[in-house]
This record gives sequence, structure tokens and C-alpha cells, in this order.
Amino acid sequence: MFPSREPKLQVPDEVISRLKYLLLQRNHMISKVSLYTEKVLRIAERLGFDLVHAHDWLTYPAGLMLKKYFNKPLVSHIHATEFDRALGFGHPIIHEIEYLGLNYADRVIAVSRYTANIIKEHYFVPEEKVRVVYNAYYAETQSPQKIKKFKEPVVLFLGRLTPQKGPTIFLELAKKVLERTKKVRFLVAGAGEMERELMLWASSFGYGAHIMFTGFLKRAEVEKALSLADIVIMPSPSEPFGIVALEAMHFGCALILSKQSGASEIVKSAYVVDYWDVDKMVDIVLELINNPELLKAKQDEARREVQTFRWEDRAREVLEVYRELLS
Amino acid sequence: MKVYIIFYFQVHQPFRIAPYSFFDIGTGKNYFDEDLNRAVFNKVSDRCYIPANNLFKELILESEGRFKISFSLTGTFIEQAKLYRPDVYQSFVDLWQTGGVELLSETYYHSLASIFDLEEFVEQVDEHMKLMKREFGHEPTVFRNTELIYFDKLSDVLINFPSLQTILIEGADRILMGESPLYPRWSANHAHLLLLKHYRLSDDIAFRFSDRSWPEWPLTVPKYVRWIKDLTLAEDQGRNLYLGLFMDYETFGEHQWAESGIFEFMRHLIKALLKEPMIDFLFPSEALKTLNFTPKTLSVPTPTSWADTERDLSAWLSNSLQWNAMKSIFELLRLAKEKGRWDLVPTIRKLTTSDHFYYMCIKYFQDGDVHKYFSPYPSPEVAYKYFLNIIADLEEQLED
Repeated sequence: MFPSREPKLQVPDEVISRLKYLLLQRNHMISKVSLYTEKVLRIAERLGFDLVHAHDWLTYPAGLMLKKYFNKPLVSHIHATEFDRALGFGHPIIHEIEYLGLNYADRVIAVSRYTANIIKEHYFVPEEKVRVVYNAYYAETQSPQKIKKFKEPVVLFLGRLTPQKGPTIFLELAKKVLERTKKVRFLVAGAGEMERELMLWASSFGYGAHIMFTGFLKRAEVEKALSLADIVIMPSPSEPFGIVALEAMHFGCALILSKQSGASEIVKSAYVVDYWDVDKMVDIVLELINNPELLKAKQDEARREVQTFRWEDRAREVLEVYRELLS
Repeated sequence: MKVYIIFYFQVHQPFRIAPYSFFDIGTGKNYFDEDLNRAVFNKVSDRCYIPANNLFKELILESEGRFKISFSLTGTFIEQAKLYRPDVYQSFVDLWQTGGVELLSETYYHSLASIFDLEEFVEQVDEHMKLMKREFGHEPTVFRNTELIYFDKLSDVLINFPSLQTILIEGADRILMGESPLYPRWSANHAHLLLLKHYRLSDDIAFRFSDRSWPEWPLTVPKYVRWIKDLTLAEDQGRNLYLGLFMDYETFGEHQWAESGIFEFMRHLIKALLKEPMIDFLFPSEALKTLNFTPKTLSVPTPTSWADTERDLSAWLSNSLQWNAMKSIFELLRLAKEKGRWDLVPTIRKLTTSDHFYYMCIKYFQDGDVHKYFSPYPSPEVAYKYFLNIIADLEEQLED
């Protein structure tokens, strides 16, 4: 489809031998990546291709080797960095693979300006190589009607119970709102290593069933939870994008997003707050639950806005990146 | 001088709650797991209630009334017996009619109302009193609180029931301070006689009987009889001794399996004890009439119980899950009464049963621990989630 062109930036031999060395490390996940890399190289021999597009560190070793052995340009897509997952420094091997994968790629696609800044700051990736392509949402169903399960409005946290997603911030918010009014229920949906700690803390407030936990949810249950939630809060201290925000919009939820999330850069109908600014979130939640017309307006606005985030547009932006490398 | 043996067996079954997910709220799903409750009841009936009742009935009749025991039957137990196993219910009635059984008073729902809501506590004791009157034509004079929980205030509150004269309590080290549990005590207000559980000799049967790592295993009848007779060695004033052997009825056949020889042990133990001239069996209510000394006064400012090694409230109230769940259910109960929702009150009361909170205990939830053994749920968190979902559903109903 495109005339083939040699990449300008070469992958030095030392990088390949370093990658091979890293993949030999005794670690469950790394050995899976090693197996994956071997399989990809074997399959690639039987394929014709013009460009390599690798997604996150798990695929970067394969991407770099393909670029080296087949002399094709590499696009490294970054959905989440080890800094996001670990909320700081994480596994040194993963950091190194991310560094190599991003720096020896011909183009880097980041899912948000927030993530682009992280890789520039921490991995020294030159600005001119980085393109931002946001995520989008594909609605499989019509935007569904809201379900009224409780007489009180429902405020939802949906995500893994890990520090990255900020569930403790959600509970702090719940406590402060419930000190002011009991006419609201908070729902923590998801599972994760912090479950016991969070449940013990939440129950110590003594607000009975005003803070509830669902445990792990299956896909259909996620949709039910979103259908009955009035407000969704995504308080992540570090969130490259946060596609759950778009999903929540489709299900007609008013949104509060942390400023430290990629989604907050494009969603105009959401309230955007620093993840640590719990008092501001409290004010917003109280305003919404005391003002049903405003809540309804925010929910309708979200439903409308999410329709503008189309994967077709994002695909065109990715295609543009390919063109830069191949024409 | 006599050694009086007072046997008291607790007979209780909770209405265990169903796996009630968040999405079950508002669907009208039954809160209680009827299949599970029926299955447990059937299992315990076949292993314990029927064979143990048969054994004790036989021993009472053979001894011509000299062998005596006492039971506390909870309201939730009697409801389930009538529902699932009328033959078990009848078997307890038959045993009662031998005259060798005393029935005690307690909260109908085997709850911790005494800790959270004393008004509710009085109502639940009253409901149980009425049940004993209705089912057995009996007015109890002896009280035992849920899991032998006791503190001074409890005796004050029980003055509301003039028929009650005696209370069974745990002989916990921290209230006895090295003194013997064999002497009854007066409550701090002198309103009730307190009979103390001898936890070592009780637990030798209830917990250690089939424990092969116990140095005294196997427990034989001559050995146990000797231990009881040895109790008199320390008594030099001729005072009668009251040996409280208090345990769950499920000890026989359920906690200690029939294969361990527990039934044969009990049969021969009773027969051996009946041959001892110094030893008699006593109903708890008879202690008051047989005292040949003036009891000391015992003050118990903070609650004791017979549960776990701590013998306090920590089995049901040592983490915030338990506290939040229990606090919420008693608040809900008060609200239902205020709103006159008497249709919901019996259901909410079934949720005050102590077992629900026992399942949320984290401190001993390791494999093989008793909390885990008794819990039908995979983890304390899961038990808590189901319970809270039910509370939310009830709150919705109460707002109608």
C-alpha cells in the first residue's frame, strides 16, 4: 500500500543484545514476554509488512527486533507507563524496556498530552517524535435509560482497587459528603489487592450501607452499575487516559475526573479537579445531588458529547503517523 | 459437702443469609438461604440432635431422675426445627417431658442486643419467655445471654423479669483473678446468683476430646472422674462445689464426631458419676436452694463471653466491618419499630443473630480455625457485602 522506506533511526546492535539479556531474566512476566517475542519473530518471517506498530512495553522488544531485522519503521504506542502503574518508580527492567522502545522508535503515539509529558520528562523522548492520539468510544448499544435502584442518588467508583485508581480518595470524598447529607449512596465497584483495607476503612466511618462494595463485576454487571449510577468519579492520581470515563458518559453519568488523567484533556462536560483536591470534589457532588436539574443536564451533556469521540477519527490520526514514515 | 455437676447445653441455629449481591437489591430475593439452612439443620439433626437426645433421654430414665441436664433453645432454632425437622422438635419435647431437663431463658434471636440496644434486649428476652411458655408451658428462672456474654449492667436490666434468679456466666480468668469458678457468686447488685462455667473441664470435652495432640488424649472416664473428685482437695471448709460444664450441644456428634467415641464416653461418664456418693447432678435453678455458704460478690464491669481465647466480645466486634454491620442493623430495627413496620421487624431481628457477625471476623480466619469452620462464606469480606446489600434493600423498603 505504501512505498517502503528505510527508517532514519537505526537500532544499534548493543540495544538488541541488551534486550536479549533482559529477556533472559528470571521473572514470570518477563519470560512470557520472551516467549511472545520469539513467536512474533517467527510469524513475521512469513508475513509481508511495511511498518511495525507496537503497544506498550510487553511488545516493545518484538517491535525493536522487527525494526532491526527487517529494516522497517517502528511506531511505539504508549497506553500506560510503569510510572503510572507503580505510582512512581516500578520494575527496573520494565523501565528499561520502555526507555529503549520509546527512544529507538521512529514515532511515539501517546494516548494523552499527560502521558506525552511523562515520557518526555522521564524517558527523554524528543518532542518532535511524539504524537498524541486520544482514545475514543464505540457504542455497541443505544445510550440506555437510567435505572433507579435507590431513592438516593448513586456515586460510583469503577475500577481496580489499586493505588493507581485512587479508591482511597473516593472513600475520603464519601466520608466528607456523608458528614453533610445521608441522601446519597457511594458504590465501590471492582476488585483488587486493596479490597480488605478499603472495606475496613470505609466501615469504620459507620455510615452503614451508604458505602457499598460490589466485588469483581462481569461485563453485564459493569453496564448495570453504570446505568444506575448518577455520578462517576475517576480520582486516579495518574491515569494515561481512563476509558471508563467515556463509557460512563455513554451510560449517562455526570463525571468528575482527576486533572492527572488523559480523559480530562478532551471531555468538556466533566468536572476536572486535582486528584488531591477532595474538598472541591465534595462541593461538586453536593451541588449535583442537591440540584437534580443540573445533574440531569450534566448527564445529557455527557451522553451527547461522547458521540463525538469516534474511533474513525482516531484511526485517521494514526494513519497520518504512518504516512509521515512511509511517504 | 457435695460436688454438684451442672450440665448446660446451648442449642442454636441461625438463619444464614443468602449470597445476596448488590444487583439483588430491590428484586425481592429471599434474604435467607433456605437450602443451606435446611441442609445444615438436617446434617446436625442426624449427627447430633437425634442421637444425643436419645442418649440423654435413656440416661435420665435409667437414673430415675438423678441425672439432669439443662438446655437453652433459641427461638431461631425452634422455628427451624418446626420448619425442617418436626421429628427433632418432638424429640426435644419428649426429652423435656422426662422431667430431667431444665429450660433456660435467653434472647429469642441469639443476638448481641445486650451490647447495642437494651430495650430491644428486653423485648427479645420477653419474646423467648413467651416462646418457652407457649411451647413447653415453662417459665424459666435461669438466664444465659448469647455466648455467655455478661457484665454488671445485664443483671440490672434483668430485674425487669422477676422470675429470673440465676445467670450463667463464663468463669473467665480476668474476673476470677485466680479464685475458683466452683463457687457461685452474687451479681454486683445482689439481684442474681451467678453460676460460673469451669472452662477447663468444659473445654476438655467440648474442644479437646478428640485432639490427638493434647497430652491427655485419649480422655477416659476414670481420668475425667478423678479430675472431678480432685476438685474437692482444695476445699477445706465443707462448702458445696458447683461444677458448671457448659457447652454447645453440637459438641456431641458434630464438633466431636461419633467416631471419636464421644457418645460412649458420655454414657459411661454419667453412669460412673452416678455411682459416686459425693457427686450429684443439679439443675441450674437448684443451686440457690443448695448453697451451704454465703457467696461472694462478683463485679464484671466490661463484657466477658465464652468465645475464643480472649473470652470477650472480639469474636463479633473486633473489626469495623462487624461494628458497622451490627450498628446498622440495630439502627434499622429501631427505625422499623418507630415507623410501625411490624411486617419487617421479625426479619430484621433474624439479622441480629450473633452468627452473622462471627462470619465477618478477620482475626482467626485461617484454614482450620473455628471461625472459618463455622462460616458458610468464602471470606469475611463476602459475608459483609451480602449483609450490607440486605441492609440497603431493607432501607429502601422502610422508606416506602
